[in-house]
Amino acid sequence: MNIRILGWRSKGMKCPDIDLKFDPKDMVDFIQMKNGTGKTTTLTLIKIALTGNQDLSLLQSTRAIKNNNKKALIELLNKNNDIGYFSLDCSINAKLYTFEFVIDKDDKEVIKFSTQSPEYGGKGRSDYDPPEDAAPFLTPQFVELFVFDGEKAGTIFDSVGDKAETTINTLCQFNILDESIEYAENFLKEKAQKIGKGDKGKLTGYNNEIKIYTKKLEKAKEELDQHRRNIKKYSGEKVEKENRLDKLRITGSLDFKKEKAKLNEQISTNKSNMEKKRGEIVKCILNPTILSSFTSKALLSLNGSLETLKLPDKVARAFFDELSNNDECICGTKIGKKEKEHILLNKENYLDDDLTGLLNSIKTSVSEERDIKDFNIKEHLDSLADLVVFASTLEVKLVRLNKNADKNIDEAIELNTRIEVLTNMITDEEKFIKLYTDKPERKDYNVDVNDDIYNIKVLQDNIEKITNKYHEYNKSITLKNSFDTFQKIIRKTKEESSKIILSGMKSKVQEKIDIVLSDARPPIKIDHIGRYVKLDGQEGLSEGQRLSTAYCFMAAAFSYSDVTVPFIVDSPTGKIDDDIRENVGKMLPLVTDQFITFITPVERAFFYSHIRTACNKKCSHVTIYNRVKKIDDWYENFKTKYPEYIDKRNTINDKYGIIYGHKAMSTYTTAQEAQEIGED
Amino acid sequence: MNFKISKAADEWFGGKGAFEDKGLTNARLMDFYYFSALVGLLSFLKGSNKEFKNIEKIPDTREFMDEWTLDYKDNRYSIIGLLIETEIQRIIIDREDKNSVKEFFKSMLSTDSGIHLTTKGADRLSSYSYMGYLIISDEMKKMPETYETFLAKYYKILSKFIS
Repeated sequence: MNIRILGWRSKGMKCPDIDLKFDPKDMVDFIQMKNGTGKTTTLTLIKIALTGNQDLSLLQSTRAIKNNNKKALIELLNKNNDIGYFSLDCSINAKLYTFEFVIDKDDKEVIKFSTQSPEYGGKGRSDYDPPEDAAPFLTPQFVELFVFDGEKAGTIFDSVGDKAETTINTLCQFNILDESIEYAENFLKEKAQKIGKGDKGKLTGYNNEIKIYTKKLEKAKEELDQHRRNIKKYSGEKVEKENRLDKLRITGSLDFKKEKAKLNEQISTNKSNMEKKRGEIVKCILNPTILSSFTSKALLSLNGSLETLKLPDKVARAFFDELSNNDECICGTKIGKKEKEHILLNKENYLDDDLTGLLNSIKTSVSEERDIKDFNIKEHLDSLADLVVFASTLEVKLVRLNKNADKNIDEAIELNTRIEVLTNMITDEEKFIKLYTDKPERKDYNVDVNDDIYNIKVLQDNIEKITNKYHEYNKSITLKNSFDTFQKIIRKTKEESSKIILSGMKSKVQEKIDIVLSDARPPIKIDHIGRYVKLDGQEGLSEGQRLSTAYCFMAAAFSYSDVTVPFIVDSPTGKIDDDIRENVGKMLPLVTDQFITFITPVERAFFYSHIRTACNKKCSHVTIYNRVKKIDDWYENFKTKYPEYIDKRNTINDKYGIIYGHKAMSTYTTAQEAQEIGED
Repeated sequence: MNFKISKAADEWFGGKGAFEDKGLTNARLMDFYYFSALVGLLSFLKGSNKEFKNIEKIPDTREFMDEWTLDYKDNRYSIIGLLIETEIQRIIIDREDKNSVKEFFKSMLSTDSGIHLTTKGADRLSSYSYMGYLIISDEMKKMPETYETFLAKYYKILSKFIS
């Protein structure tokens, strides 16, 4: 499946009226717009057109308004217009489709979709109607994967969320498996009702109980998420306050700075000594020969037995096979049928070559270590204990040093108080989370449906238990058992497939990281990919490194699906460091065949030229701006200075300027000027 | 042929996030599996666990590794040796009967498997690991929060069987 955006037209919306066309040969399409020019609106309009979905919350649009989608849609219109129009030209497997919609604030339905395509024989369709095989890739969830805000790409590292898992599920279409379970469950309910062998009142009782538990389960899950979000919020604030405190201390006293650096160095050395010592202890445990005289003796006893029995034999089984094929024995005796049979029978008493080798390896490993009498694990453990004590001493010293430094600074006192409060709040939240997630004990199941139950496992088990009771009473338990088996198979399929995909994806992402972030020290390594992407030493990463890693993840994820889609990204580099922008610029054209990006003038630096080089300058450029005197002056100068670069498509209307070409894009007014004129 | 870990041991060792720094990776799970196996083997050899005589199967397991991880490459043969010696004592093989000993080796060792053990051999080692886990979890009560504390407590248990 190949989806490509060929352009779009917009009229009367809260973004410039525009008719954009992209050349299918281009790999990157740049749209330069400052903040406040209608970037977010344009992204939302693209999402609506691609998905045929008008629910802005579902489309994760920042333009969504809670419980009032109608208002949110109307707010996409330019304030002077009652009607707006947007149409998006796409190539889907090389066939042209145009998805259109009109927003009319006086119309009861507010929004009306239509689809045009030569495939429909010249007649348009009066609703959103993508080709059937493309529909799974044009759902809000799927579109969210390739139309996004660059700065939010880092959410795949968010341990509270499940962005990485959702991405993989969506890309690999695992939702079809989930839907099949849902379908089977509905089928079961329907059939069970038809069977209906039990007393209606009792069955309704069971159903009500299931409903109550299900409601409680949903509530518990929501609350658990909320507690996790709280921890994230408090932890974020805590880190921020700690950093501020650190800054205060450092600027406060030079002596403190020196003392703290010294202490930190000691802590780090001690930590590495502890790791070394730990390694030595594990090394002793791992080798039974040097662990203790007792283990050594046990192994020597095995060796003794082998030696007494002269095992392994000097001759292996293969020798007899070979001998039996000869006409004559090495001693000169003729080998006939009878002798051959006898030799082959005898060979069963011998071990084969491989087993002989293995036995020899076991023997050698023991005898090689025979003279080692270094049973010093105890000494290593004593040293480790000393290092642990020393680590605590250093921590106490650090706390004291910090406290002394804070004594005379009011802000530091305030910060310390807040940090303490936040620490307690985090601990409380962790306690709450345990209520929901701890492994339940038998006593936790002694509950009534009306009790306050928080534990998710208890709730799930109770739902399962009562559902089974219902089906047993209803005589539909055979059907329920079939459903359970089906569900188990589907879940196992999903689990096993995920395992394979995740392991493959981990190496693919790592390969890309090694190229894009080759200069990172220490090197960035993925620990695992699950609900979210966990990196080794994640806390130490800069914003830029996190974002670059997120792009690597997306690139690897898309390489696992059979679909090629355009990446439409707002602010692709966000807060990325200048030196990393260069590498990201080089990598982005490799992510997909078409990269449509909304950039601000600030983002051009260290990025724009590299991405252009990486795609062999196969790119289009359009700069869109709100008209103000300073920028009008810039364009007038541009026209005088570079008359040969004036594009026929350039449009200047009352409100906007739309200027095409690389030269205009690269010389366009800087962010600083933008601030002076109060745009950003 | 795979190493198997019981669900209970998996949860117990992973319960504290296996010391938080890296989570319960397969390599770390392999360590816990081996640490437990060593306690299981030694407690039998020391004669403190005669219940092992009947242990054949462990409850609710999952296969988690089909080869010795890098840290074990140098020591895998002596670990297998210790298993063999323990099993010779457990099932009372006549050490002087060459054929019985050979048959026993054939039933336990295999070069077709990444762990050099037959299914039976791997299951025996996993059984010792499970018994070791029962001893460790009983003595430690709860999984320590740091690797250092774990090692110290582990050695305390181990030293009962090696001293």
